[in-house]
Amino acid sequence: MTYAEMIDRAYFQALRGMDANTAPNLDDATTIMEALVPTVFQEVALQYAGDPDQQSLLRRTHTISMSNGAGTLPDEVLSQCLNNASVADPADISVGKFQTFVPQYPDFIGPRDNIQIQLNWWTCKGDTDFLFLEANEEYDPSSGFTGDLELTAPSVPAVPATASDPVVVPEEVASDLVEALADSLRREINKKAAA
Amino acid sequence: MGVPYRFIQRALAVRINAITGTTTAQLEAAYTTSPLTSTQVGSPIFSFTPIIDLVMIAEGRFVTAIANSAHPDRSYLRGLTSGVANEAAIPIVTSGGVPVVGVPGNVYDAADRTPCVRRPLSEVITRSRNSGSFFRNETYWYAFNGRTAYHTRTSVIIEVCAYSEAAQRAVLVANGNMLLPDNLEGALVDEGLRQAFRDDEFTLQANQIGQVADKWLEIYRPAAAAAA
Repeated sequence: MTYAEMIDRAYFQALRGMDANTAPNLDDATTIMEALVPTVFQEVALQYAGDPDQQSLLRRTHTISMSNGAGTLPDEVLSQCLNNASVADPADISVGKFQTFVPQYPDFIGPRDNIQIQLNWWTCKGDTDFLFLEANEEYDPSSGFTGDLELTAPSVPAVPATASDPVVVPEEVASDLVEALADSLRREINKKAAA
Repeated sequence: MGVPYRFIQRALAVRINAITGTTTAQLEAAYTTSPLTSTQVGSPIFSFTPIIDLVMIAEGRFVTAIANSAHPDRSYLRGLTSGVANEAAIPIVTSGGVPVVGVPGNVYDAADRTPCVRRPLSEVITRSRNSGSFFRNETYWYAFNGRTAYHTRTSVIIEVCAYSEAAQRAVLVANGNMLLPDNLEGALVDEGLRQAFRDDEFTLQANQIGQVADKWLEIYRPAAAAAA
């Protein structure tokens, strides 16, 4: 489903049961719908995030460019769901095997015990700082892993760059996005009708 | 379209006593001659060329009325501009160099000829400038602000009414057909007669026929009001 198809599908779903003579046309609706897209994507993602069984549907793999153990967390990643995330080094399979998320930054930078030091671990500091520490290393902001890491994490669906690009989500999520967008548009239409 | 300008010339001329001849047969012969020349048309009050001018003045009035309306007769004057960039001036000539008259009509994408939809100016500007590339969906929108065209495409062409008095005069002189639809033949005669007075000659006739001509012109006024 491309972005343009999503807009069209949501538009016609929103008009179900409405009088075609009073319903807004697509030209009236398209700007409203596009303005709603980021909010709707966020809402749907948070619904999924609230259900651990469904979080897997939001998983996407992001490549993060690391320098001295630090990189930038992609905007789409749901930071509240990092417990269900994992990292991998495309060049070193052992990173994916032995790794853990450290929720608290102070724990991440502190000295590691004999068990902890065998693990690759990672954390987030603030909104966007993604930090990674390889096994058998102690935290040192001036040195550390440099290269690409893959973070697989529940994420808000990305708004495609162009209208002809696909919305990259599983089909069952796609249906929910369309439905949620249609509901949002319908709310706007009803508000206008009531005014 | 199918009616020669000559029919308007002669219908005008006969009503202002400008067909030569003193007998019925001479009048009929002059009236039905093709093409008409100063041998058949002209009087001491209105010679040959002023009657041609009357035809062109009448046609110009109806062209103006049609071009400022949304009436389907606009198709008789149809012209297309060259490609118009966003926030560029609406051209004053068509792609063929014919002067544009009246209000602009439909707008099409220059590349795929998809019709564009008229939208409020602020919406069109918001989408065309598209701060942060936020809007992704394709829209075929346009708005006019004075003589400036705003749209959401790379380039559009505008359907306009086009009219060249010089070109139509040449058609008339070459004994060609009128530009406007055939049913306006009588209207052009009436409008020409409205102008066909000189000093105190034909003033009453011009005044009376002018009221009839106004009825013809009113055909285009409701559509003009609807388009505004």
